Amino acid sequence: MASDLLQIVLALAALLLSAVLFLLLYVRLRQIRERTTALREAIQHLKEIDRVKSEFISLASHQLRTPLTGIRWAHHALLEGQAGVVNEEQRRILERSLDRTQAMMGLVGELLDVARIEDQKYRLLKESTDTGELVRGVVDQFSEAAERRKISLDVSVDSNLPKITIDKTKLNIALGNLVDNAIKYTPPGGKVTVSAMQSDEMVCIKVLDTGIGIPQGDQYRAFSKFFRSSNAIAMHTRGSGLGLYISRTIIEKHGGTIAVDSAEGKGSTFTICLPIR
Amino acid sequence: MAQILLVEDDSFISLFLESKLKEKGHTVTVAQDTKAAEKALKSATPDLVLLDIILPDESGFKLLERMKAAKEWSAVPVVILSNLGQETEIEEGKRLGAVEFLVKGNYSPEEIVDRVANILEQTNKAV
Repeated sequence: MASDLLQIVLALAALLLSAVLFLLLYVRLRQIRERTTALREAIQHLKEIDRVKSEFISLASHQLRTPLTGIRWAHHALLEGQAGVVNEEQRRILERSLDRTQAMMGLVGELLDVARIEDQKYRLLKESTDTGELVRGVVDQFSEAAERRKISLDVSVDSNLPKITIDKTKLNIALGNLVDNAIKYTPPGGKVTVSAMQSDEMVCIKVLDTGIGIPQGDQYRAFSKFFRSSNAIAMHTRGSGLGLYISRTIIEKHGGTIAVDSAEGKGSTFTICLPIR
Repeated sequence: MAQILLVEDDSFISLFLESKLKEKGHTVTVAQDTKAAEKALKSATPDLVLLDIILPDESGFKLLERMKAAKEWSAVPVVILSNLGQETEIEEGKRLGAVEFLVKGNYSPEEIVDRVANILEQTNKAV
């Protein structure tokens, strides 16, 4: 009889234990379900924020660039005499105004690029490209600016440079930023040389200038966002401090490297190297 | 000399483009939204379409999609001319069949007209 009682007690205890375990499991599962639902909602919310950010970047790009495009084209039309001959004074004012408009376009472009980089939406559209043609094209874009500042701008491209697979538009921006800086920070009478050569399994592009250089203490920050060296600021030249950051991002996304060798008062050499394969 | 349909809602922008295209001897029809563009397409098939994307009634991509689905318009070369320029947008334009995607802010009207001339030459429509 005692053993029967014991068995009953044990069975009841087992039943009670099972019930408690079942209840605990039920509560736990319910917590997991609630957290999963909350997580799903948070993910949806983040996706929506992501979509809204992307839409904002697109719209900002369009809404800022469109009126600036119209203003730029209007300046060109006036300078070409489409509304009548302009006198010297009018030409001077229009050219300065056009210069400011183009600077504004450049700044809008840079800010949008940075927004896309931060948002990790900065993708490459790669195609096989003749490096020499790209380099010569970029130098050509800046030849007028160099002439205005009385700076000699030379280009030297090794023959038989292999083609590389790159995003042409973005490489244009990356290299363009380096050439633009080189011209901006080189005093009149100075020299900027852009050269391209093969180095083992890489194609390298160097932009060498005889400009103000970057102080030793500033060089470690040269490719950081909003970097402007102390001597560049002292020159009162315009700049957002975003160009080198964008160039570095573009080159690194291509699996390449970018480096600077500079001496204050003597000039700088920026070197981009991109893998051939 | 070719017939160009310019789909652009900004009249200041279309003023310059229309003028430069006409200087080169092209006939230009300007439509400020996709409805007007479709009306123009039905009236006469152009040799080339310059298409903005942000338009008042709907996205220019929708018009491009409809053009490529229609037998009478699918062969007309379409150049997207927009100040959008993200990779996703460029890829979408190419996927839908645009022959070129030009970010307006990066070009002068003359450069755009030169690109038009190259494309027309390639499609053998210029006279």
